[in-house]
Amino acid sequence: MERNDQKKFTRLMSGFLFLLFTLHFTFYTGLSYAQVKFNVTLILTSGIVEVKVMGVPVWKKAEKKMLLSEKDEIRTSPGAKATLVFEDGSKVKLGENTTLAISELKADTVDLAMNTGKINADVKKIKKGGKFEINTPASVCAVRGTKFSIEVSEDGRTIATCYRGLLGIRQIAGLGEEITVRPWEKVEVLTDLPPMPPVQVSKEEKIAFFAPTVKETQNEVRMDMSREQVQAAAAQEIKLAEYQQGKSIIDAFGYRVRIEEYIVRPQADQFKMVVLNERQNRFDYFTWKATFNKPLPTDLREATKWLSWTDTMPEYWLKENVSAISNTVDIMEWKYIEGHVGLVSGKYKQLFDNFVFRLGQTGNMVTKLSYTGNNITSLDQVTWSMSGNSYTNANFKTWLNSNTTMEGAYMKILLNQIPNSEEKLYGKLQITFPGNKKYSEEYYIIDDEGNTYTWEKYLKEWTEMRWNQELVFKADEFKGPDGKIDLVVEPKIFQDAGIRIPSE
Amino acid sequence: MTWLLNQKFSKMRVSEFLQNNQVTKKIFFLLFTISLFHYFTISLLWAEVEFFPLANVSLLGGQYYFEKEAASFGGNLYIDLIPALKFSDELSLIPTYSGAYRGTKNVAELVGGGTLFQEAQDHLLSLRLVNQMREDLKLKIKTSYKLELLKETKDESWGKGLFDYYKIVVGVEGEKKFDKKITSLTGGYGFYMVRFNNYASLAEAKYGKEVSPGKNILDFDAHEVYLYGDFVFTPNFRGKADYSFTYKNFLDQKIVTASGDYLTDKRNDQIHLLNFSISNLRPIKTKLKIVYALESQTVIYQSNQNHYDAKNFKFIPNYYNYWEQGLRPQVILYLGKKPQSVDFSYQFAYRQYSDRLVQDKDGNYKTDKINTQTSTISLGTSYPLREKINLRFQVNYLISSSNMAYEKVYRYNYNTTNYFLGLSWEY
Repeated sequence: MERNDQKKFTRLMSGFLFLLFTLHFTFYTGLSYAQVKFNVTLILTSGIVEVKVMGVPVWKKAEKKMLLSEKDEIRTSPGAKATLVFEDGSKVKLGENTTLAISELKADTVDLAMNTGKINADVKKIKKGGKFEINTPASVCAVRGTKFSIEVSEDGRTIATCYRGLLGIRQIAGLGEEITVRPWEKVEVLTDLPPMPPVQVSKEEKIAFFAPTVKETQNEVRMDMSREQVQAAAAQEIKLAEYQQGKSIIDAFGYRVRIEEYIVRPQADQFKMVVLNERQNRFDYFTWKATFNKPLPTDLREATKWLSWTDTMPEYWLKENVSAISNTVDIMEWKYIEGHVGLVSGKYKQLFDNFVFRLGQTGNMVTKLSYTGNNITSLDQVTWSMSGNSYTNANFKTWLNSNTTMEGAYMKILLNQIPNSEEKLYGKLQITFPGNKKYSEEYYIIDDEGNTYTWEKYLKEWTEMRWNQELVFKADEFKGPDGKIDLVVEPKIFQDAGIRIPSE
Repeated sequence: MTWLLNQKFSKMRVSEFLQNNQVTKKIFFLLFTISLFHYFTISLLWAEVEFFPLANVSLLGGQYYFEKEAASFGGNLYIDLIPALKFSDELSLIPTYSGAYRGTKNVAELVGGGTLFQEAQDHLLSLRLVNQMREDLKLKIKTSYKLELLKETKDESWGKGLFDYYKIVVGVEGEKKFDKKITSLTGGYGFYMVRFNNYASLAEAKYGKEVSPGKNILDFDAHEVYLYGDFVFTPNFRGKADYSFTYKNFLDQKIVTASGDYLTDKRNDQIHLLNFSISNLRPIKTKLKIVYALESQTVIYQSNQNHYDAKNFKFIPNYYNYWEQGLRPQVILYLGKKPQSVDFSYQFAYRQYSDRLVQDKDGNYKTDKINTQTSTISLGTSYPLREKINLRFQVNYLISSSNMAYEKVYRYNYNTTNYFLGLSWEY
């Protein structure tokens, strides 16, 4: 984690701590306060629940959070549920069709009488000398601090099941001995027989006991997962935008290439395009700095109309155009200076009187090729210069043709030849400069997966134009990684930026 | 110590104090630890702790197809472990580990930047403390840490993926239960931070000072508030509604202007998300039940960030703004006693960008705004082999289409298919 993130994490944890303390005090302080007076609160859960208050011989509809006292009675209708909460936190949950009377309610003594129905109870540990008992038509259930259930049939038959702690069960009429019921045991008591020996609860009963907690836990986790999906989608949205902007593609060698393209404005009359390519072990970039005849508008498309021939004199034209590519060690540069607009065959065209192509390393650049002219309208008016020798344009073209080799299906297409259907759209152009110094450009037409297109696939999909182009530049003078500059750049940009040896 | 704290507080704001003072950090962490310890020990002493371990494990094998090209056969593994602790009826602690390995892509995953090859794993650790304040009221605090790792190319190894990220979340949530048609209402606040550790803008990390779009441009902090409710119209006819608002604050992504320059202002996004779902269970026979369900999702996404397409010298304001509407009808059949299930769903989503312009195949900008539509058809079945062990088969087919024709860097019009076969075990 970065330093800023550590700070943020600290703040987050501080907030979390604050919440924890708030919860802590709310919870425990609430309990302490509640223990001042001993009584029992009736919480309505669902359905029709009625109470009969001591001294009033009629059943009345129970109220929310009603306080009950000794000798009060409570009953639930079909489908109804209710909970009694005692001051010490003990709870008795009444199922449907259950009738329960509070026979005795003192600080250390609770005596309940249950005629019919089912209860699930969670009784806190009984203090020494205290008691918590539940009487049914068949039994007396002495609670030792435990979780248990009691079910009473209409004929008075009682089934007591212990889940936690211990229960003491004795027959109501004193038949037989008291039975101790341990966790996951249950005992059945009839009105006219001694209690039967305890038996183990079934697997289904165990599952039923845990089911509410399991369901609650699953709900909590489900809610968490639902939030997690929203948050994960927010992270996914970020990635989507990166892909849609073409910032991440796969190159011809199966490696991820990250691409970033920027426009900066070093001066009012200049823009500089920067294209950055990063792979795991290399970083290549392309820059294109264009200097215009006057300050540029906000919308650069107004100024870049010079890129094509026009019928009218363009408002914006280039005075200087410098493009460079690099692998951070090696650099190649195409520099066009003394720009002007010339009228050629009735059309206005951007022209440059001077051109220099050089390569090497920073501080050690070698000029491979250049030309000079004066207010030219055609390259036929320039003088080429290479390794100290001068050439007319015609002679230079002859030299270039005899020292250039082209191979691969991509080059065949440029030369109006038809490749074989399975031939990959790869091409290599190599120029051998004086001194047997070789310079080459390799072209790859690749799909989203980085696979090089075959001629057949290209023909099939050419209308969709989904391919990318990767260019690899090599020169004998290079000393950088793998002896190459490897760029995934829109070919149109290279063309507009003048990355080529000028020809007509 | 009090004197020292007072002096400190008198000289700086509380937030600065918390940020800058190492002693305070230690005190807070100490209190945090003591508090947790306190909670657990007190709870242990006061009551018997009930341990509810829950687990789900799914192991699925399958294959992903992009149009007609198939990726190699891969496996997906999902594990959920929930060693829940119930200290009392009032207090529960729910730790969760959720892990996934995906060797076969989901049909809905992004197809840009390589479509066939992808491996992903994610690990989520979360801790949720639930306090049942009253019979009908719960207060929850939660924290989680998630790590997602991706391998999308052959040169990426685990931990080196460009889009690997981690996320830290803290939040608080309240849940109120009702004895009405609205059975529960849950509201909460969450803060989370997402960090893409392997991603920094090349311009700032590699190139120099000439361009300054920000360095950790993908990292963001988010605040979210949410409210959702469960409804029961009849015992078999239920519904859910969920609204959330998220504010994302990008810490280091600067706003790009119409001239391609970057301001010092940073990007921030707001997301409104509204979900509705209803489901109806209809028992046809004793051993045949059908569930009909319908989900609707509406998203409104707003951002102050723009986009500058350098190669076309084109500025697009409000580049990220969109609205999206999704619908998902689903039918599930439960057959037999155990039961076997067959589910079928169709999901449709329409997204309309407010300012993002359509481009033709050459990349030339048009005047229409981009829209995308995705349709996903899913068919699956689960067959109970043994108690808690199910055999699962699923096939998914997705069609994506758009009025965007420029697809050199990202595919908008395509179809993908995948299928899975495997086992799931639930404890």
